[in-house]
Amino acid sequence: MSRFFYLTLGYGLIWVSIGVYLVLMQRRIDRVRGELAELRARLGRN
Amino acid sequence: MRASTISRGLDLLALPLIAIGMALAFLYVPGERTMGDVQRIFYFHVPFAMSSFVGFAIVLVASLGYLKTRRDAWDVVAEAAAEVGFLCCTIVLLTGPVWARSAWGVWWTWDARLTTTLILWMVYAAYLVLRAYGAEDAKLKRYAAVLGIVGALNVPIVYFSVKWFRTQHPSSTFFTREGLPVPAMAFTLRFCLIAVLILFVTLLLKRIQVGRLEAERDQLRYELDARE
Amino acid sequence: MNAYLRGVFGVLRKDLRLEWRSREAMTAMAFFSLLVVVLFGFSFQTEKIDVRTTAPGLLWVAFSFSGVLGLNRSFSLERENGALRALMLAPLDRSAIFVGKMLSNLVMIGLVEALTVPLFSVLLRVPVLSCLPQLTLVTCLGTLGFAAVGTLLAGISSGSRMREVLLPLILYPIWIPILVASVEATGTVLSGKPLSEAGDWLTLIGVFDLVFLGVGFLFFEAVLEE
Repeated sequence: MSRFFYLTLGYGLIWVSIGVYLVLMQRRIDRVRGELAELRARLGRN
Repeated sequence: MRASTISRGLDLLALPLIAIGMALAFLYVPGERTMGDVQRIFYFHVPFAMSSFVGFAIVLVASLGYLKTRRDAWDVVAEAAAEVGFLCCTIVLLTGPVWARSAWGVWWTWDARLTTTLILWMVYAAYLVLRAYGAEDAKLKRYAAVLGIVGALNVPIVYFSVKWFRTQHPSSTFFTREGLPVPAMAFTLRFCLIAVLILFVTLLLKRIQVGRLEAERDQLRYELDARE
Repeated sequence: MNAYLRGVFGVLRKDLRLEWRSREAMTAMAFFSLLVVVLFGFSFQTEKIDVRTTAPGLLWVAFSFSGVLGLNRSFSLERENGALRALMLAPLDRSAIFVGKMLSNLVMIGLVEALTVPLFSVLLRVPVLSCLPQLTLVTCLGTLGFAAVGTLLAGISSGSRMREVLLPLILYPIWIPILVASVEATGTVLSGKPLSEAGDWLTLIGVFDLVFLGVGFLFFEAVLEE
């Protein structure tokens, strides 16, 4: 296990963590936007 | 400059800055004699640790703000800061062991920074567990705010207790920052610190936006229920 | 001021009297504390426990575990019988409820500690009589902090969906630095060294106590609101 390997692993973990969080947030935003649109439509109808 | 412009600008800036920082740490900085290449993780390990402290500071202010004004905007900020702070803690706890394993053959060392970060990680986790499973709406925000204040005020106490514990029971010094002699090192560290802080703010703002949208959705749901 | 103190002692007396009638919690706490000591004793082959290192930690772990039991108890009764609402309706300052409950928890945990220490001393052959006053001081300071944060957080956990299960999760991470400090100070004291050598640790515990007594005093009200 070269030191280069561990360095890449370290950097990789940083990118993966940030990436995972961004993906999770994007999914959350998309879901909320969808729900908001639907709610607004239903309120509009009422 | 309008807020959304700033936010958009940060979005575009944050990740490339991190990439540049990594390039700097990888290529620009000279190798370090004893630990070789893996020491380069340090340029991110430390900034993320500092960011987790910033997270707590924001949680403290936002929690106090919520208890004082009972306006949901504060609550949204507190939750966002806790999540992003937790992410930063996690990154510190991931990069630390990788560094330790490579440089000293052990996955974990009870050194001051890693131990402090572990405790703070658990405090963040407790806060997030409370938020996730704690209580129903109005109560939850109050409870979370109180816990946020307790956790954040405890940070200096954690810091000192770990520091003093380490001085009384020293293990071989691990993550020392032998004064960065080479100017290239100091510059890179400062650059990476700024890059990570910008990333922190970017993620925070995004997360706040999510929180605001969800609060709006909850409000609409409530109105809908009231009508039906 | 008089009315305030009367309120505090009213709550304190009520809690203690309630406990005295059944003695449920105290018995459970004391027994649990003893069990922890015995369990650890078995696990670590008590031929020779290094007074300086393992014993103080064991003592404080026993206190921490049984303490949570007591903290949970001090609120679960209130919640179950709607007594909490009655308490809130009384013309009492909410912070007085905090102080009263904190004191009752302090007394209960203190009693359990007073029972545990001699048993601990005998079972693990750790001499305690020579440093009893210092040990008492250290224990009181540490337990005060535990009771202060613990009462506030127990208020939160008892009102949460997860009930009692939540308390250890939120309390222990906060408690860790003072657990460390108390263990270090106790170790110093048990090895016969003077209190001044544990001065830093005691100061840290003292600061913790003040800060979280203050936080509890100010924010318990926010926890109680219905």
